[in-house]
Amino acid sequence: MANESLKENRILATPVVVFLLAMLGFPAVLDLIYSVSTVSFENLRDPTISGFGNYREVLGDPYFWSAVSFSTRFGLLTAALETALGLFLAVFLAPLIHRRFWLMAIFMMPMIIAPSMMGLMYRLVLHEFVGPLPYYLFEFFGESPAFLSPQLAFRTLVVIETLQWTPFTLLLFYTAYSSIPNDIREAAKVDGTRGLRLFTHIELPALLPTLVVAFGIRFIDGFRVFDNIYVLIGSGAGGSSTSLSIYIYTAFFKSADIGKALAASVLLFVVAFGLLWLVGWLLKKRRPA
Amino acid sequence: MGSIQLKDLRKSFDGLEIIKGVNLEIKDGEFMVFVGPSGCGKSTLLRLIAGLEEVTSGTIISDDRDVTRLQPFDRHMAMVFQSYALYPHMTVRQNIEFALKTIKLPKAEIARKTAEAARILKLEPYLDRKPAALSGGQRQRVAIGRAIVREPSAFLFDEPLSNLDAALRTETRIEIARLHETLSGTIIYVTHDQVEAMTLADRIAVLSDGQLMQCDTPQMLYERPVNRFVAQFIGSPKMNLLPASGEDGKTVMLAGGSKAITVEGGYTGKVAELGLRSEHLRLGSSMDAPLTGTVSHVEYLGADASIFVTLTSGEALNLRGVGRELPEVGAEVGLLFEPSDIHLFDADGLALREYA
Repeated sequence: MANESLKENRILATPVVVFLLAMLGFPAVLDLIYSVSTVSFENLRDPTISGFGNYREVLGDPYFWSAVSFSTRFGLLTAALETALGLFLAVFLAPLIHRRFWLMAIFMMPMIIAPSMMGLMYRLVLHEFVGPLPYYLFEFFGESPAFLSPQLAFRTLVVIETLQWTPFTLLLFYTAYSSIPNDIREAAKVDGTRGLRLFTHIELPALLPTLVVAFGIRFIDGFRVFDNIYVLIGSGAGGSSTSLSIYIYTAFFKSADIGKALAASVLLFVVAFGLLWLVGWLLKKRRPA
Repeated sequence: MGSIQLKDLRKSFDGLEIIKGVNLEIKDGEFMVFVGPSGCGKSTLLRLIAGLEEVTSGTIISDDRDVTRLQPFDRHMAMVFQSYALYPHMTVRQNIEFALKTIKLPKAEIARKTAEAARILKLEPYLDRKPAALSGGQRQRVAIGRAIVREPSAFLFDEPLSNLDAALRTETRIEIARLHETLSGTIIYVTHDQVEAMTLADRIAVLSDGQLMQCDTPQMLYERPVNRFVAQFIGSPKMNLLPASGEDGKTVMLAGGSKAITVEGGYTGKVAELGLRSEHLRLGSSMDAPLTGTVSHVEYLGADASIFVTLTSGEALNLRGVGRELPEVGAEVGLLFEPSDIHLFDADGLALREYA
């Protein structure tokens, strides 16, 4: 009986395993091979294995480290802001959304826009000469910060990313918040708990798993950020806005440093996988035995 | 220390009146059960007393204090929810301590009260477990523990046994009764199960459609229901009702009957129906019985049997028979009863009999 179902499971799981192997496994293997080869567009089909030179080159590249630092800071900061803001809005707006759920559709609007379109849009909005925002800032205050300058680029990008993706965390938190059984709140009220204590002692613990998931997803998404930054300012002056993805892209397509790019991508993969595992582990640990 | 008075209490949701003016006095230390069919407003009434719903009009007095507009906690009442509503992320101990920590009681005091509650409810082995790791009965006791540490003036129970299986329900029912003796606090207990109501209550308040039908001891509700609703709601199987007539205050006549029945103590009003409980009917020969019919169905229950009889007039009755003396299905039988056991109702369902 047990063997029977094992066999069944194997047969049923085969298509998805084959699909994953073909779609993800094959490129991953290729990635690994190229990353330890000397390879360019000329000898794509016939790479020469050359050991870990690519990795050494990547790890010795200061631009790689600044890209890692940019991605990490960007990922952490946006994830933290989005999680905090989303949580606040979800709890604060819950009574309103509960009665008028169509409002959620409006809140979701930024998420519907493709990130690259978002980058394009802000490129217009923030443009020093034609952008409406600098225009009005000049009009009212006589000066406007150069939003896209290397000094401010990071902050601008963080704000844009946060504005676009807070709706996502809002949706997650609202769903989690409204699924907290109401009688638990009522029990707490009868027990004399209300206001802030109700939130910190009863509701927040119930939201904690969602908090971890939201932060994890947003961090990974922020860490691998590419399109909106690339469209908005590219890699920035002196690499001021080079995320890890942009670094890989530049190395691959612009410098044709395929081996180096892929070595960097393998490193990114390892880190991303590690983070995902960490999130999973945190969630599992919280669950009661 | 735990008396509660409801004065013309009303509650409307979106213009729809759910509680239609309830007057009730619950004495200190009393075990009061609210019972009624689903949708009668019994849970809403409890939530009004707890302060979880806002009162539309009327007053709630607790120990000579008007608590109508007070926050739930300030009413000094504790509630046990149907779903138990335990805090899932806290251990049993933390669940029980939570209310005490909220009011910032000294640590030693909290520990003492928690230990005491755990001892009474036999929860000591589970104190460090999370609710998810407990059985239904244990969760129930944690919920009760959370209530008793607060030493409230009244305990409010909202259908506390409905999530337990049948065996555990009986056991927990007895535990609750024992708990009431130990704590001697006022208890208001909502249920739709009349067995729970009968076995636990000092007094039962029967509700129907947002109105209080009758509030009395289980015996009085059973023996002297004030109207047809209470008569049929309390008691299982339902009280049999037969069309009858009479307005002389002394005798009644069953529809299609030939002999007048003399009513002990008399009655006032115009009789429309005569009620008889199944255990007050006996099988007899069909010769000179006031009611005759054929046995249509028999349910054997062991000691007892539930016998269904279709009367010659077409009405269906059921009576309680003895398990060892079952009649044949299709047999012609006569039904006997004592005139003192009858209930009389007028066309509006009001009980008419006068009792000495």
